Amino acid sequence: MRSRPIFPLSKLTAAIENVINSYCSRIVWVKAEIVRLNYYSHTGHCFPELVEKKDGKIIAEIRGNIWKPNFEEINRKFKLVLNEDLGDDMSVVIQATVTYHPVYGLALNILDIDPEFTLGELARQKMETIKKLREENVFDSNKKTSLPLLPKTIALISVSSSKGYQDFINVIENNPQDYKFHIKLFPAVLQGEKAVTTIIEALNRINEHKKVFDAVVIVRGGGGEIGLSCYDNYNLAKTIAGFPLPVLTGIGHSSNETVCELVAYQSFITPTRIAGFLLEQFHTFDTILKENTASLSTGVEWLHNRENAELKEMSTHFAMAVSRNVKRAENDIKYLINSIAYSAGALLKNDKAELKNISTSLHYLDPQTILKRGFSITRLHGKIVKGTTGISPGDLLQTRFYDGEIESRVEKVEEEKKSHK
Amino acid sequence: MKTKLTYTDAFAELQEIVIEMENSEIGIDLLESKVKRASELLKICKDKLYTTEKNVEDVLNEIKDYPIKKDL
Repeated sequence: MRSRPIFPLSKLTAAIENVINSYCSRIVWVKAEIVRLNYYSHTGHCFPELVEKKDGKIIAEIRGNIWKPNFEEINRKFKLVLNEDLGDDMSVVIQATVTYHPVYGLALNILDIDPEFTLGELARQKMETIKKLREENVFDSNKKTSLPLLPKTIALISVSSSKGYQDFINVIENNPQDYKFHIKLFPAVLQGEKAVTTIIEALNRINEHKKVFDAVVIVRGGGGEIGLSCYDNYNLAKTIAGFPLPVLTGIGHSSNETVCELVAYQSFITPTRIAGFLLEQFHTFDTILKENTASLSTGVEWLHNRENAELKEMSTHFAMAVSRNVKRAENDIKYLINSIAYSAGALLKNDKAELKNISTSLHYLDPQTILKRGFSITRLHGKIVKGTTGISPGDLLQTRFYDGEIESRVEKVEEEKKSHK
Repeated sequence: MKTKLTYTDAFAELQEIVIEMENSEIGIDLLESKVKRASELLKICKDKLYTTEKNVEDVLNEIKDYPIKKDL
């Protein structure tokens, strides 16, 4: 068998180190994404994981080293330009050299990172987040929720030790009108990398009891203006936008509004302002209530007076109408009585006159009356004699007068000449 | 007795008698009894009329004096 050369590993790594240091020692600018910064606070060094992604897949990956002095300088610039610490999930343009270490292997030795590029990148991401939320139709959702007239039960997302929390509580609790609020604290980290997940967790817990609460208040303050890019995070902004209760933010900064503040029901510059706003709602309601109470009593009084007057007028009218009707009825009755008296009198008079006529007629027709006038009735054998016919001399005639009868004998019968008949 | 006779009936009969008498349809003999009957009827009628007049007068006086009270 042919003998073959065998090297110790250190010889090989030394060779690799030699090749890399000879050919790759140039300082280059590289665009990459920091997946995780891996900052070690006790040493002050960082060992970031750098990747390049294409369509969400990692197509290149390398470890980086940022030694303490470099990191301090880079972070100072970042704070200055971005108001952010260098952190996870940042797109960066770095200045670096390739190094090789026999034990630690291949790495990029990072000398500098351009904060301007990251700033632009963050701005672009922010615009994209806004665009995405608009496309999904959730951007205005929280603004469309309704804040109750009296927002008195508040879910507060904050840290009890923060200045913002203290400011908020102070204003609420020491209000001169002594309005009562119910405030329940849901603790969360309010800046930096952990803010997104802890605030979302807090919101999820509040959502489980959403019927209890009138509004959510997110209050931060006292921590400077570093680490607020978490409020541009798509997931957090979407959770706030789609939240069923109105979300009020008081994150406390002077730069541009973050996406979370843009989608919130209402955003305030400071926690104190939120507290002031809530008190104002109470005050407005209170004022309306007082005004209405006053106008209610005047309204009632006015109505009472009006009804009273109407009633009085109506009863007067009624009395008049009644007496008018009674009078008319009285007149009717009087008229009827008179008519009856008149008619009855007329009828009786008429009957009397008729009776008088009849009795007059009777009087003249009465044979007695006729007899008194000198006439008499003559009978022969009981039969009335109306003329000379059938009467002979010697007949015994009975003659009746008004006051008696006589009997006489006929001496002679003499007929009247019948010339005129 | 003859109180069952109404005024109207009595008067009608009376009129009938007068018409008969005026038309001389009645003989002297019947005339007497008719006159008698007529004077009876006349009395009935007069009595009735008098009582009626009296009653009507009473009733009229009564209703004229009937008090009308105001209830209000």
